[in-house]
Amino acid sequence: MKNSFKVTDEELIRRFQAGDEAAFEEIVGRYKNRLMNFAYRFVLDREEAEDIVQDTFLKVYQNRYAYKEIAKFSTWIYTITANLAKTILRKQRNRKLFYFSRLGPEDKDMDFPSKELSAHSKMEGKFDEQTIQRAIVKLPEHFRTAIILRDIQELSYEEISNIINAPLGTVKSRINRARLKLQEELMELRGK
Amino acid sequence: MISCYQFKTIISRYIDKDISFQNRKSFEEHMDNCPGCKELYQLILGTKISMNQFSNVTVSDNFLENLKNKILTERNAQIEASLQKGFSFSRIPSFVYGFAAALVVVIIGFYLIELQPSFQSRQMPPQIVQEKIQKSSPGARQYQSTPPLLSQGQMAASESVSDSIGKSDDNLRQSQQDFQNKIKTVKEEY
Repeated sequence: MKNSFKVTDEELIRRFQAGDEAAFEEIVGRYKNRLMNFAYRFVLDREEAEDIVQDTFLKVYQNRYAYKEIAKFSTWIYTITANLAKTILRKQRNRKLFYFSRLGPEDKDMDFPSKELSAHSKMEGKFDEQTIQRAIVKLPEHFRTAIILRDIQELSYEEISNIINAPLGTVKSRINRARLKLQEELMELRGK
Repeated sequence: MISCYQFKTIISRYIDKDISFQNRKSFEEHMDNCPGCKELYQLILGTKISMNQFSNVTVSDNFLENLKNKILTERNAQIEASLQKGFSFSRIPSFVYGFAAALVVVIIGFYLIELQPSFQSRQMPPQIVQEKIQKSSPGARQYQSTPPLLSQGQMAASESVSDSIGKSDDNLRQSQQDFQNKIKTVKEEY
């Protein structure tokens, strides 16, 4: 993730900590869409994703003094978003469990319509965005976080390691396993 | 040459160019000889490229406004919460009310019990007065619960009793007068 701004994020948060509210707005401007993208890929719901991003900035606002410059600001803010997204994801899962438990067996025959791959895509091994997104949400939470941060957000292994609080070696192997698992999910979706 | 299993463990490192020269050579050698692994590599690479090209999801137009409102709401809620920390009856646990009521009942009970003897003592003369009265007039009846100072009605009653035992009125009046005088004397001494 490249940062092309003149003032660094760390300088902005320092200013904000000193009482400069404009610095906070600058931070919001820099991160709102990046975080939205991340949250949306995670929960696959636009409204909930926006709520996650709002809550992230709210936490940054309220806990501005909790940030210490021992880590990059981007790592800190992504960690907040990831944690909030995981919480929402668990709530979604619980809601689904509750919903399905209330349905009769005849009601359970519902699934997303499977999108047919074009012959060209099949040859190149490419899947459309919707199919990949559906496969991503089928991944376990730790794989999902790793693959979104690496392949969609394009963060470095080191940054991911700091965000998910795992050693570098673990991150590398987790990303590898996540990619292999994603292929399994895609194959399953293709088979349907 | 590496095995298919080993190939799969380093496939991401090869894609991310995070692999040693020796491993890269082994990887490519295996890929050239294993069509299944080559296909897997192409699938993963193709998916990674597709994910890089995902459309950007952006926040709504009123995002900043909503965020400011949220921050304000939270701030107000915090102020309200801190104000409520001062004093509120609603924050007192219900058992405290019960305890306070019981305490009030106990205090009132004690007060009433304490009040009882002092009320009685107002009706009866002090012990020492009773003793002196008895000593000075052996014939006088001992007071039990009646007041020492007889009222007119009681005096009349005592006269009728005296009549009934056959004494003259003058003698009776005299003795009554003496009796009253003795009481006064004892009272003054006391």
